[in-house]
Amino acid sequence: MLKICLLAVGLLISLNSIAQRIATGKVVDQHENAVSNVRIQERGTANVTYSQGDGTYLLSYFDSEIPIIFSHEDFDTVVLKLNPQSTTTVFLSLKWNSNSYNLGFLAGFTDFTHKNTNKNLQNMPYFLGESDVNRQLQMLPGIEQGREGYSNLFVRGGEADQNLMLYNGTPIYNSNHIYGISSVFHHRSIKNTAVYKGVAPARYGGRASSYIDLSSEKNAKFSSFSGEFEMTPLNAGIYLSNIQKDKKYFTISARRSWIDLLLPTETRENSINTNIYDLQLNMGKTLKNKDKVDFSFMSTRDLYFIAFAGQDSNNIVTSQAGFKQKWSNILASVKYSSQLNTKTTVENTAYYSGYRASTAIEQQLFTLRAQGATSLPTQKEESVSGIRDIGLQSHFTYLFENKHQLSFGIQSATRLFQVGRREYSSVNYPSISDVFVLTGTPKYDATQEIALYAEDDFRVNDNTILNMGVRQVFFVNDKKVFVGFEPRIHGTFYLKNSDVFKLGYNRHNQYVSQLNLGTIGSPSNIWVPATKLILPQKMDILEAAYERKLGKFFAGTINGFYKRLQNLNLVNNLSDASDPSIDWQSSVTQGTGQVYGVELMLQRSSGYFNGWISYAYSKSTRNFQELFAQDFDFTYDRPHMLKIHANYTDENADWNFGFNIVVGSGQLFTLPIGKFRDINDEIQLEYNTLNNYRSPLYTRLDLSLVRLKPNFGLNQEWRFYLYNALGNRNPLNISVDFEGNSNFNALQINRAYLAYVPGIAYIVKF
Amino acid sequence: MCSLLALNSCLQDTIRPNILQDYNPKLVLNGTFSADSELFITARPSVSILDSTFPGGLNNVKITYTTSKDDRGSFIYDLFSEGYTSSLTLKPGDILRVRGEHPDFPTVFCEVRIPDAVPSSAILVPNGGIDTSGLEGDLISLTFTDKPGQKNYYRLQVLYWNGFAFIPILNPRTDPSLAEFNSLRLQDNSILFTDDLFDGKEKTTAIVATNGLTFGLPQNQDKYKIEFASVSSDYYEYFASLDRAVEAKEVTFQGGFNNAVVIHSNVNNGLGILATEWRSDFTLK
Repeated sequence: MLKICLLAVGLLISLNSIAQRIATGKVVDQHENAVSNVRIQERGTANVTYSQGDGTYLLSYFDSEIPIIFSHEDFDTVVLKLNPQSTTTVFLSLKWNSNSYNLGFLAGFTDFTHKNTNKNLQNMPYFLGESDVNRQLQMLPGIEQGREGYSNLFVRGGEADQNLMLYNGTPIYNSNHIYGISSVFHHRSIKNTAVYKGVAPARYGGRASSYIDLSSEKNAKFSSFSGEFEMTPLNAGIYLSNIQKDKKYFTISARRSWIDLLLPTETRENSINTNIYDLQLNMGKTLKNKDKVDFSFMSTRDLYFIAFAGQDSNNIVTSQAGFKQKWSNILASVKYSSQLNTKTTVENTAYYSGYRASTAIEQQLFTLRAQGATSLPTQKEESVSGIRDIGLQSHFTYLFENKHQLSFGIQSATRLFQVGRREYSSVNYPSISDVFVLTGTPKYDATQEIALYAEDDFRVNDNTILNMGVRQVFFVNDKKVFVGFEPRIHGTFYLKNSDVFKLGYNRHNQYVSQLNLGTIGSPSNIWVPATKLILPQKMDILEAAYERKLGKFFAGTINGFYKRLQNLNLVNNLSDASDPSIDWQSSVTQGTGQVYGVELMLQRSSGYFNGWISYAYSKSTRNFQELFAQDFDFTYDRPHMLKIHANYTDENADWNFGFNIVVGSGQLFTLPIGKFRDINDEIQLEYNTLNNYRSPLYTRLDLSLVRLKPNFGLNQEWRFYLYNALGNRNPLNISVDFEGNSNFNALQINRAYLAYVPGIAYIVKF
Repeated sequence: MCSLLALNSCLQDTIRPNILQDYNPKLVLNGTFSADSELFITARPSVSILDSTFPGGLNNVKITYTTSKDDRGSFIYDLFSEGYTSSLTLKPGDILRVRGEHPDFPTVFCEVRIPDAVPSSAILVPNGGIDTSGLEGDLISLTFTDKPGQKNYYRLQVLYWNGFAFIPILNPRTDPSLAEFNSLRLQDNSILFTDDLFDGKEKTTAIVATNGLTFGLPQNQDKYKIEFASVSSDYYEYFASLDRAVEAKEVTFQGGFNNAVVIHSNVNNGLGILATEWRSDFTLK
């Protein structure tokens, strides 16, 4: 059946390519920003197509002598004669008093290159001076940080593991440094961030909340070699890019913590050491036959080590114990893009993504050494978990006719899981045999996920676009086959007054989950596959959006959505789930959830002073029958959130600045309200519900001040930041203790919060 | 330096949220009602989590009942057992409505049903199995028929006679329905399990006693006892939540209330559990 389908598609491709002339290209404005929804018509005919969201177009036409008209209500019309089989970039000039904001795209989609342009996010305030991509996303409506001060992302009431974060198309399984305080993606290393907050094209799949597609710089308006050096209290980093426009590129971005290098080597090896790094390397080339090849590599690592010496009563060192925690990502991908014929392009990608976390404890005794022995009695325990993803993808786009652009493809991911392996050894103890014990899974267990998808981008008429897609997923784990069908339907309806209405419905299945073992973003959290007992997560979303240009500078959007979540995972026994000798499935309970909300955003996309104001109302609840009979609020449910980001950016000025204001519902915590005796006469804590305490109104003002100072022919910048500049007591954590550690005594509740957190960065650009 | 900056900006204070200060104490009723047995309930108050005192049992609660057969009556406080008793006996399928009133607490009420009787039998095969040491041991098996079309919950306890009293045998839980993932072990070593793996079918579960466990007992002396009960869903959910609470406390000790557990209750407006069971004991010689 599959062979017949492929044959039919192949035949269709070849027949159509013979019949007509094709012109391709891109429509951009005078700043080379993509212009979408440009009407491209063969004059005097009904032969019409439209530019896509990234400005690209593909017109099938009949006569190369007939001019082609490029028209858009906000731009001056351009009339051109196109050469057959040519690729032409068409420049449009914005009309006086017109707004260049790009309407359209899928509901809930945001990016900072094509849609939400000119945001100058480099001047946003950043926590501790680390310009972090995740911090930018946290300022968008519907995306929350979760715990105060952390770099995690919770999209529209979903879980952290329900976001698929892609770096140049490759999934990354832990995007955190320092237990979630910073992400591994520095602002400078990412050219564009695209976020689908629910409704997504059929080529995206495998997660139940969102898709965050991060792309490095691959082309530029001008050929150039440029670079940047940055120093913050945490890291020293360098970014270099060598781009020959439309021909080839090479970029490298590297950061490393530097404070540990000030410590003596002996101290780092024997007492304390902590360091992090990330490296991103990308290169690509357009070949003579116009095919393109892209190579991407990324490596990150966090390492924390501390050792303690034990002493006897005479202050003589008798033992030494060390604790080491380490986690790392390695990503690599190669993509080959080619034009099969005038109507068909294909992108073939192979990638690898590996994540590994380990925790080791080692103790050496100095006093128990056997006579004549050269080695010390040593105990060591190391726990390891990880995931490896090997993917192969082919993505085709095919112009069936001007009104129908088809895309389809196949994605294969061989995913290997090591849920937990613990090695214990005890060696060189006098009179005791050496002991080696291995528990958990000694090797990685393999699963296979294959997805077939197809989508028709159908331009019904001038005012209506229908995106009709399907995605069929097959997931195999331990001989159990899961089959998931995912409709992806979206309609875009252009109205009369520079506005647009959108409506979409999607289903997403998730076959890989991360078990939260106490703290979101912790490296100890383990990735697990869907199994016979722990079923795949499933999400249905219905979303409507209205979008409108307001005057020359502003644009407003209103999104309303409803999400239904099924087979959500929750760890109900943290100690068992952390123990590799116990099947993790016995510690997980599954439940359901629902989320609904409205998001409003008003943004300014041009001029020196720009940014956005957003308000989101949402309600996210969970139901885990095993934990509580009724629905309860999701831990990171925040019904009301008002967010303002604004910056003043003028590269010729001495000072630039930016600020973030966040006002909204406080974070939820679970506090026991009472205590009582159970049927066995033992004291139990009374919770009226889970997540029963909402901390007071969350308010936060962050500031950034940038000093631009050219010196010695180099552009230098001093960046000063202040997080929570008003010192509001937004809880970082709530800790509860019974006085005297006895359940009979009163409970004391302590609140920790972050206030006046300074940050600084020094940047040299060349 | 980053850590120093962050730590320097990490401040702490102590709070007393309103939801804790405005706590209203509740009546806590606990009891297990067995078919054909006298009924017994304890009544205690709950206290605020901010309270340092913990009062004892209440002796002035008015506890009344009505049954599905329209029997009405009251529970009487018993000074010796520090609980409330009633001579009412219930049959399988009977429904009992209990109401508790006290001027200091909201009135509580609860409706329970005695589970249906379950056809069951037990046999002992001397030296009929192999124990965990590889030696011959007595095979003790129980067979019962699960009622189809509904979820059923069971409790199983196997004991041996040591010459003075019946002592629980630690069930190795090799039966899939009794395995750790699918069942709970209670404080008295009995196992709570569901019919998930044998819904509507006849079920036989067996254990092999350790070789020599009843060595020296006379030929016709009682040797083993099986306590088998069909229990209510509230009974199961209550003990399941207690089991999770025990685990959560271990974690709490390591850092925080990550794993808050709401203890199941079927006492409306109050706390605690009025559990029901139909019980059948088999003594094997």
